[in-house]
Amino acid sequence: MDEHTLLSLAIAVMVLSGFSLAISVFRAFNLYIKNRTLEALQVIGGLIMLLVIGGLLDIRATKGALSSSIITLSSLFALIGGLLVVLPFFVGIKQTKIDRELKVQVFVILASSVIYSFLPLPTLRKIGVILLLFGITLPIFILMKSVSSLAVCSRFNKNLLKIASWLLVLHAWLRYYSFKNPQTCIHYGVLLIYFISLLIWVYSTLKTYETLREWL
Amino acid sequence: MECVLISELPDILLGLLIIIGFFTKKKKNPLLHHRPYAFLLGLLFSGASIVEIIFAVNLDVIEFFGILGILLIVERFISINTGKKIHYEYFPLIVALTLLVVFTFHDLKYFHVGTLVVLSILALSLRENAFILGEDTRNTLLFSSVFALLSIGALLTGFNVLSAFLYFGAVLFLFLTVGERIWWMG
Repeated sequence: MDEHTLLSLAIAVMVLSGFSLAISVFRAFNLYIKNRTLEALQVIGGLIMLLVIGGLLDIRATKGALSSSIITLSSLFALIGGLLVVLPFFVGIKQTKIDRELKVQVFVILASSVIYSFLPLPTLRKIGVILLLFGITLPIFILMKSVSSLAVCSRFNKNLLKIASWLLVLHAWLRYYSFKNPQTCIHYGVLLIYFISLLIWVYSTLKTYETLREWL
Repeated sequence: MECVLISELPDILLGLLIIIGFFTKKKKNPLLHHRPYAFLLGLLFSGASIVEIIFAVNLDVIEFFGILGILLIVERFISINTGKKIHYEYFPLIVALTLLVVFTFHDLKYFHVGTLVVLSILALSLRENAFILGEDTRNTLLFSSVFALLSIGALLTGFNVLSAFLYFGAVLFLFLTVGERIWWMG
């Protein structure tokens, strides 16, 4: 296993930790909401994300390159999985505020797809890469917003999640440069921004979950 | 693969935490408030890292002895709050272990292994006495310690960038856990 694969593994573990903590937060609320359907959908969504991320890592480690069809299929599953994890926060808890800041951030993230059109790849592969990045980034982003909207989330953690979300926006725009300079310090620098964003997300979600457990 | 800036960022962050601790009000932070050694240790970490980036020299030895100083401060803090004895035996053991690794690999950069061991012990000691900072800090301190241990593994197997990422994770979790307590709670 080379360093890049191990680094991708570390990042994948952080992403999945974040998703499982977000699911745990909803499960804690669900003791009172008692909506088993939403809980089941969220767990299925989490499992889909696990399969997508795990599968991509495995294929990259064993075969090296990902084909266009695998990328496109993975991105569709990631979008479905992400949607299932995020949905209960909107339908069940109903505390997530879709404010101006969220709209601006989502718009800026989606606008970053313009930069990826300059990648020297076939069109279908380019679309697949863009969809895959959004499929994983957007659910993380909306989960950050959902957790920071909860009343149990302290002001310290709300501010941290705000910082993490803007770091994710920055990463979405800089990710292109890591594609252009693979396995160089620029590439790792861009990944570090993503990793910091994930670290902060996991920290804040974990602290929010701990606070929730004390309250409930 | 070596990326100096990425490798030195966690040290700068650690130095910053200590310097901020020096300036924070005494009521929230009796441990480091206006203690000269806190300011010096903080400057040592941040300064040594900046010198390493600019002049491409290796100052891991200095950082190792610096973090041993921090471990002593934290052990003293725990001792005062719990009545337990300071674990002086940690220090010769850590130094011996670190020197063993350095001599095995014949490279001074492996003093960084000692820094990571100390960071892991620091997080675990605080976790063991979690009631001082708050019971909700247990899991974040565990994350910090685990990151530090994984970073050691990555460094010993030659994955310098991965080690730097995991070291950053360990320092960030410690920084946020202690920082939240000092700046936002009381």
